Amino acid sequence: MNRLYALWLLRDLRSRWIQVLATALILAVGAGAFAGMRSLKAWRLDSLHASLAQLRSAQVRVDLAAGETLDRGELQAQAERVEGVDASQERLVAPSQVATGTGAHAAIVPARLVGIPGSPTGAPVDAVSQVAPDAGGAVAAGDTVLDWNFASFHQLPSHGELRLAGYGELTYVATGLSPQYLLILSDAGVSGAESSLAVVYLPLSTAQKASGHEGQVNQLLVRGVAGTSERALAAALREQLHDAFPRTGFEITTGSQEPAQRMIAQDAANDQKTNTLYALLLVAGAALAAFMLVTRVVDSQRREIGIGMALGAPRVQIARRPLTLGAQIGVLAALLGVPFGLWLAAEIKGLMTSAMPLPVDDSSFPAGLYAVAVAIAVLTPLAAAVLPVRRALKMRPVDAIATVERGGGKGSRLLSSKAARTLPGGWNFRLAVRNLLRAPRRSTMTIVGLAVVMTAVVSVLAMVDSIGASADAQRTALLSGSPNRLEVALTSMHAPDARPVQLVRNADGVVASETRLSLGTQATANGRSSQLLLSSYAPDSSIWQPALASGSETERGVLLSARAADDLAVEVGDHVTLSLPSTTQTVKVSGIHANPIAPFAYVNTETLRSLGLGDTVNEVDVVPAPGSAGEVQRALFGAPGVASVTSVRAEAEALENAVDEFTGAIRIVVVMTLGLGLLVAFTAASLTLDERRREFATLFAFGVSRASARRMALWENLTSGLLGTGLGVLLGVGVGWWTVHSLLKESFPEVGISLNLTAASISLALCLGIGATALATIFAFRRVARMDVPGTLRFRE
Amino acid sequence: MSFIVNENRVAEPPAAVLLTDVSRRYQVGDSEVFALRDVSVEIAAGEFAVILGASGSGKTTLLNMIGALDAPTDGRVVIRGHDVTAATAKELFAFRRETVGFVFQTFNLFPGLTAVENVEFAVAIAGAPGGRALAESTLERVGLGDRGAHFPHELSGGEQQRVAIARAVATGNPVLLADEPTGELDFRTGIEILQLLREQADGERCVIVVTHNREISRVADRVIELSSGEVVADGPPVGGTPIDVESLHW
Repeated sequence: MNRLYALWLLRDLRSRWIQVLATALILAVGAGAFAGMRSLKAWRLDSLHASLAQLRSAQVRVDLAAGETLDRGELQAQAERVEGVDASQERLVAPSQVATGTGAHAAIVPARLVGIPGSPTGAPVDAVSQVAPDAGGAVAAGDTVLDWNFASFHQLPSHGELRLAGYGELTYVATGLSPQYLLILSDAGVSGAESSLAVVYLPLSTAQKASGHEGQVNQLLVRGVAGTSERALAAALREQLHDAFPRTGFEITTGSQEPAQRMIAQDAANDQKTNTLYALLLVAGAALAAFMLVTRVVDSQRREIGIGMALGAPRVQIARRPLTLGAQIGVLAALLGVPFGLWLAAEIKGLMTSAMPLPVDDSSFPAGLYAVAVAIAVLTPLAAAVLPVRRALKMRPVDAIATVERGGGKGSRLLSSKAARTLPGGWNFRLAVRNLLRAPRRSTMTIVGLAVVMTAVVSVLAMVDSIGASADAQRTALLSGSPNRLEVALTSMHAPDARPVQLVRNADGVVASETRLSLGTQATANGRSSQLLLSSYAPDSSIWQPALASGSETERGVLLSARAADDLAVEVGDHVTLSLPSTTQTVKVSGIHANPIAPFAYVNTETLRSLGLGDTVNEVDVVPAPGSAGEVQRALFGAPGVASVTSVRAEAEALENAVDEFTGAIRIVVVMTLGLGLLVAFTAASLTLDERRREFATLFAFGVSRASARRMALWENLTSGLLGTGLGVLLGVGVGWWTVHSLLKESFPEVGISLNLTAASISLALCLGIGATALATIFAFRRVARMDVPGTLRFRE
Repeated sequence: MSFIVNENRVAEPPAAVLLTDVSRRYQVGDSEVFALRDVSVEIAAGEFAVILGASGSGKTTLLNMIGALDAPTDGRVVIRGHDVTAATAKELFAFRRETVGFVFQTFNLFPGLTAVENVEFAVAIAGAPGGRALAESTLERVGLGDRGAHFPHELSGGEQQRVAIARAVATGNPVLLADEPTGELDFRTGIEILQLLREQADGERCVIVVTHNREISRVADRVIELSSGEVVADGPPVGGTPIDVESLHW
């Protein structure tokens, strides 16, 4: 008997290997994606911790108050007196300005010089990790390393020259990262500030010379011995330093408070929410689709199950064949799913690493997650096989064997309904609808299986489109007016006619200019508050003014972003209170601007005057003559009062790159869901044709042409394909809306993103669901068209 | 049949098949349809019985009751002393395995097994000794000794029906049921099939054939005629005694 069953099972596999493989692939993609995508947060955090350990990250960072320094050696001497200190290092951190790059990538930006004694990569605390060149080993004591974030943003080479204000040319041999600057944050604690801050790790003596603080230091980094609590260490250091330097101000930051590290951990957590959502969608879609397919295959064996029952075969033996089918699919899915999940995770990690590299990549195998994935892969088809077998075994054998549904089953009732009897349209349509009605469970499973997969497709496309639309809006806002303009930030506020302002406005190569005031402010309304960056504009400006989504740009008031307005629960016409340097004022919300960046807010010059700030500027927009942007930047580099000179075109390009990098990972998910959708559509269509073999044989026997029979098959599959796709699109829009308005809102608090599903994406989804069904039917029908008609009619399966 | 045990007692052996007031109702929409109504039938071991009736008369339903493929709505079915009506699902599986051999009108062979394997399967689950050898010899008996390696879709209708008979016969089960075994076959093949079935009715085994073909009932020891779910006649065939299968003509 075992030999007989073994032969039987082998023949079953031979006749169904395509369906087994396709179903296993569907499950493998879903289960693998589930494990792969859910492993990313742990990978990111483990890598972060491993990186910090490798770089010997400081447990306590001591910064002297702004402007204060101490003689080199003094801080370290105090640190060495504190119990529990294992290693310490003094540094000098000083502001400066660098000019770097050429052409469109030329930039003059504020710099932060980090003077390190000895080799930056060999520092005993907070070492600098060399990111590029990849070969490593390029950095020695006395070398300069440029921050990788800044270099990457401005597309600078891994080694080169930069000009340091007040110093001259400086050669950097590599780009790198250190624990404090894994991410570059703005003063407001928002990431993405690498465009306008260059961290330069250079020899301590060079930093001292460049900043005019020879022999001085203003930062101390400390590591404790193993097991030392950083809070205790910080408290001990605070006490020691306070006693030693009672008139010196210190700011003490523990490792767990380090902003960049906290931001990375928070990003990992936020990203994981989105990753988990898509992991769950994919695995649910795949599992449901696989469940549906396996159930249909086993259902098609109902008659054979009935024959076995009629012969009195034990139930366990009857169940052997369908359960073996389930087991074959499950084992194959597990074998394919694990490497797929690992590959997917590696691809996404690669994208994330290229955008935000960490010195150590701790890719340990997440056994727990993959165990769950394997369980899903194996148990789903088994469950899918068990249920119809149980259903059949509970039937009377006479019902299980029946070729036509007996009595008053649901399918028969639907078929007998008036609606089904009086369907309009030709044969194809009526047959298609009735075929769906007479097997309601199977039809529902097919439609729902396709719908769930399409929901995943549409919701992922919605996310990509929404982020893309937001980035486009930001880019448009940046490049409106004069896209060649340079934004010059001054080191402090000046009167509009002050010399530093005039120097900028009259620099060689400048053909037009306008002054602006930008300052941070807090807006409050309805018991809520938001940090804003308030900038002024001239309503009649030819250089730049904000584009509006609603409201008026000439009316007195403040223009808020849609996100800020939402956060403050205000609309156009409402009022907000602005906390300004010397006053607090309530102003009207005169409009909503089109830039999605939440903190950006604008006031026209008239409003600025009404706020008492009309005679103060700290930025100048200049329009260089064609081809002279570089000349203007060189002229302004190091000019008194100039903090930075940035090309908006370069900013827009960098933004595009950043969005591409971010959505790169999502695009992998898009491709995966599209592939899953194709597989499901194909397998479902192929199964339907298999189930109808005898009917097609009858049609052929009656002289119906292959083309006509194919049209009938197309009608039926397209009907369920259309219903499944339509349902999936609707649900996908809903899930997409929730993703954008809930998950993304939380993940990107500084950007306003609204649901934007393009017609192209909807068309893609519809084409996928419906088109794949049609293609699958045409492809699978070739086998039907070649069937042995007499043999099929003669033999009753 | 009776067996004289002593001068005071005539002991009747238990009937192979005993149906008492069996009814089968179906709910179709709002109405109730009686496929069988108060049918009482007794068939002895060794009898070759034909259940005769037009299409829709309930004859297949009656056969399904006897084979425990379906359960009556009312009444009692006792096969070789076993009350099938009161049996559990597990007992019914065992009953079909060990007591009944069924030949279906539409053959119902397993498409994934060859002819000999289809027979071997039934032998194995019935627990009959012999396995493959028995399957091969049974196929030989039904004239398909050289077709054992063929799959059902490679066999003609008549050949498939022979395989189905071989499958039912090889188990050695004492009740052999055949539902319209010649319904899809030509006359000559039908005669051969009937001959095979007739030979199976021996001392222990009873054979019950369902047919709408009145001519076929002439070879039966007993003809039970159904109409609209009720027994309208139950007795010897036309002419009083069964005739040879070879004498049939339809």
